[in-house]
Amino acid sequence: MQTPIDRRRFVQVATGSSVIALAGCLGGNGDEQEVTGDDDHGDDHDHSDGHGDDDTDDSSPVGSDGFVYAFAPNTIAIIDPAEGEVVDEITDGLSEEGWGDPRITADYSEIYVIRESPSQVLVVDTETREIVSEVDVGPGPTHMYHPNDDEMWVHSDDEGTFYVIDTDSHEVTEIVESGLENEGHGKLLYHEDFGSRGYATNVNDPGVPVIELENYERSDFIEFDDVDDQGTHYKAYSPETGLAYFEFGDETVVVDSDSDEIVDRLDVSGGMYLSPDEQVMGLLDGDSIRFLDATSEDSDELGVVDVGEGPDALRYHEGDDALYAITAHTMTDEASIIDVEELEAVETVDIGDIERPEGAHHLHRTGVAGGGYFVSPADADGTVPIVDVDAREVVDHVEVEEGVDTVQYVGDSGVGYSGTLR
Amino acid sequence: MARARSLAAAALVGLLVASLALALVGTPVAAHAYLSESDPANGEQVDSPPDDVTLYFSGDGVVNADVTVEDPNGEVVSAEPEIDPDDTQVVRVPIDDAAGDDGMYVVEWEVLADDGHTTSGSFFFAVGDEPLDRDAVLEAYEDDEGDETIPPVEAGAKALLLVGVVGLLGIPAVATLAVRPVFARADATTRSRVDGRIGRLLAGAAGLTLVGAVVLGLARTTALGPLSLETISQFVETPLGEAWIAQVALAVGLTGLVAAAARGLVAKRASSVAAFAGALAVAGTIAWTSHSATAIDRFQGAAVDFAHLLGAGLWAGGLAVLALGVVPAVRTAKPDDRADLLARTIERFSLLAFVGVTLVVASGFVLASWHVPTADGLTETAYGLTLVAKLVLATVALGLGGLSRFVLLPRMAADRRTETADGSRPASTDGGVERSSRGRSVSTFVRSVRLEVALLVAVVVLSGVLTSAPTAAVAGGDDLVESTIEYEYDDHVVEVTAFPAADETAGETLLLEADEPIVFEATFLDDGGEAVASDQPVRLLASSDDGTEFEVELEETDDGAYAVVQPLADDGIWELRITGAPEGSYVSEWIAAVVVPADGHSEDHDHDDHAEDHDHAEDHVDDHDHAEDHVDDHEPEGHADGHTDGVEATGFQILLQFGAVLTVIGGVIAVALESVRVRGGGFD
Repeated sequence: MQTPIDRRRFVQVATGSSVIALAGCLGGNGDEQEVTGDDDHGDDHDHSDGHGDDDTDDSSPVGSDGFVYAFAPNTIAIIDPAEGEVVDEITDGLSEEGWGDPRITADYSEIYVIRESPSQVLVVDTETREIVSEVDVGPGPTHMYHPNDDEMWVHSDDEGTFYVIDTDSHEVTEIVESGLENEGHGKLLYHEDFGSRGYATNVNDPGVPVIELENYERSDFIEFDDVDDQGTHYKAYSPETGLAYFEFGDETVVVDSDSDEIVDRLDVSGGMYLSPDEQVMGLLDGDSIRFLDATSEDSDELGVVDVGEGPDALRYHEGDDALYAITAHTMTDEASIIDVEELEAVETVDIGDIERPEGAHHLHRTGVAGGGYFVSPADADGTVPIVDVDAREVVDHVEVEEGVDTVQYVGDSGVGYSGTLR
Repeated sequence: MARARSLAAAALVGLLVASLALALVGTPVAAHAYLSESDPANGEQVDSPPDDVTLYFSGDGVVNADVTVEDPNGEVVSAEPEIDPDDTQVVRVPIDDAAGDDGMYVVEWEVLADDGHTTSGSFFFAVGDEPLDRDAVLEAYEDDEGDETIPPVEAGAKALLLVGVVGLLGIPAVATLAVRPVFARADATTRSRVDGRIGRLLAGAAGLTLVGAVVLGLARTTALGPLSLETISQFVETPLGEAWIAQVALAVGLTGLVAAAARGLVAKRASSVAAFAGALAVAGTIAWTSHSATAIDRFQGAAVDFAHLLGAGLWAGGLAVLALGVVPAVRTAKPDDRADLLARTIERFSLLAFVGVTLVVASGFVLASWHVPTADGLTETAYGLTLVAKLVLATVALGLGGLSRFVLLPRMAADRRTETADGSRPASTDGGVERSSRGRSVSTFVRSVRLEVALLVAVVVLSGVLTSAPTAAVAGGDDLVESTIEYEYDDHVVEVTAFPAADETAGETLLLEADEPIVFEATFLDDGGEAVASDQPVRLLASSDDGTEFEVELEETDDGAYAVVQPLADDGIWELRITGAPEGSYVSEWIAAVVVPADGHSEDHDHDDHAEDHDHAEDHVDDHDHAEDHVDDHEPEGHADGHTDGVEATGFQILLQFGAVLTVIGGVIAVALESVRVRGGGFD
């Protein structure tokens, strides 16, 4: 029997996007930004009229290209980063929400975002800026993936399953068992190179389940070690080499995606983030960021940049003169801008502060890049700072609401492991 | 004439005083001792066995408690229960140190309340993290079906006692104030006959009082164990036993007094006054231990109950004197005096009867407002049904009384005047003596008054039953009902059931009670009505409007359903979600639930008003508004804690209180008019 949890208190603790006590993960990954959605319940809930921003009474298209959706407990603020202001808000039906992963569809028409309680995925139409659906999913949803144009795969950590949502009907059409123990925090690694397969991770499983995406089933399991106290977590893929990378304990296991054979084991581990040009992969290693050659079969290390203060959420920006990586720090109110070619931090900027609950094992701070900006919400300040990466400066601290902890850019955010949305 | 005036003045003053007392009465609640809450609470899950279990009763205080706690192995792990000396509504039961097993602990309790009635029940709590077992919970609920049986011996003894006391109150009062002054004009033989009959009536009433009191006490003693000297001695040490001893002592004294009077050892007037005083004292002991005194307010409740008894005594006891004392005696009087004696006695008695009827009806309204707070209580409980029967009989008796007073009495008086004027009787055409109209009036009156007495005796007997039954304010709460809602998905149906529910569901909203372990079941049915298994765990997510949320997994049962036992801690609006994957098809259904405080359910639920869909947030908000209205409808009706503070009267209670006030006003006017008439020489 579960003990009832005070929802408000739960939300306060668990949301702090910034601060997560969940197996050290929650969005810090390259391909995931943490967001959450909320709304009404019901798998058949149709938000054809009730929701929507306060300023757009009808559903006339207004668009959201280049805007940032910032998710706060009681509002979804739509921010124009160029102007540094909130241009619209969605508030109807939102109350003390806790958000999980957001994911935008390939055509940028809809944002899917996890509403932690009561285990739902909220669908936001970016044209009309309205919540158009809420989809009930399994308990403990944390991460969401968009392996093809027609589906969103939501991982239910309490079940170790993926709930597959049809992006047309907004209904759960399949439930795919992934974890071996029917529970555990998990992720999905997919690239078009994999065909109809994907790799899942699960913090309870000593390896990666192989998922048949078209048959909606776990077809195989690549065991990394015969242990029962260690699982897999972060993942990445390098299209240049066909190698898949999986965090496993304090090492990173490298798997050849053609043969599913383990080809290497790196003695470092952490979140991995591929650059948009797919040439470099940044790996968070404590207070340092290790940049690996993503074109090297041996995963050669290009260099280490020591940024200190708990870097998280590595994002990239291809500037006119260089490739930049930006990371938000969890232990300070700063972000570091790194010249990847020079392998040095060239600037630190003040991006506001995050909540750091006492006793939290892991702190997390999400961020998203797009349109030349780096955006990372400061939930303690209730602001969304906008960093102009080329100018290496914060151009605005947009006031949203205390607790704002999740963001999604509408457009090519270039944050995926492959440089695309997948 | 002077005595008549003083009688009228005394009646009017007495009625006004009693009416004022009634007007000050509040609107409280229950009776018997009923478990209102406990620690651990019913269905509560605790980490380890508590040091003790505490039971909090509403209604009456507890005189004696028998409580056992059984561990999951069925072993009794409790010690002797202790009644809190500072608050007898609280009983604590120490738990054996050795108890430590995880699982369900069952608490069985039986208590003897201040009002002499025994109530019993059971509840359970769980130790450890394991969810409560559905079957065990259902079994516990089955064992806890309400005990609303009426103990026959106790009810019978109480009926005897009440009949006796009513007689002892009414007989000497009416004999002294109405009969003897009139019969003082009669011949010695007639006086002697009427005195003899009154004496025998008193003896009978005293005997019934004594027998009733003794048997009632012994019957209550059995609540402590098999009847024995030991249990009797235990019983007399309780407050209830002390009242019983006083009652029996008074009954013995009254019996002795009546016997002495019968032998001429005590003057008639003195013995009547003493008997009336003794009867008042016995009535006081009854009122002091009544439902009203113990559950409502000791003094207020006792006063109203006392007024009810006194009114019944003046009416029914006095009528008994008329029917069984005066009428037979009048038959032996001189023919010319018969109607005159009877009419004059009735005139004097009428004044007392008006006072008695006013008191009994007004106090009856107040008692009903306490013990039958809703109209449904009249038809859905044994108490209510008995009360209805009593009211019907009393109404018929009242009608007969009205017939006697307003039809037959004036007719007899008119006949008396006519015959006195011409000094003759009409002769029969056949040469015999034709029966006079006066004779017909007397005969009709005699039949009417005898029937009225019989009806009133039945009413008093029913009162004995009534005072032995749980009042409607507390009865009926144990009706365990199941509420089921069905939803269609594809070609299938998901059936969601909650047990126990506060009400059967008529719409799409479950009406449940807070803190009650509720067995939730979900069954997926195919188009053939067969249960379908879920490929994924079936879960219940519950979310309250104040932010409490939890999600639990249901276990598959033998009959293909999925069940979990889960209390909902907060009253208010909840939304429940059942999810599962029958035959691989994902199903998620939302159900609105209104959770009311324990025992706070009432009628008139409009389940269709709210939460019919969840299309979007605005609708949702509206739904909540409706549902909150719904909650307002379900505020406790006043028997949750047994205290009067802050309890709002129901419409039915207000109606009854209004009836009491009207009765008092009407009664005062009637007595005043009757007084004027008596002072003016009545029907002379």
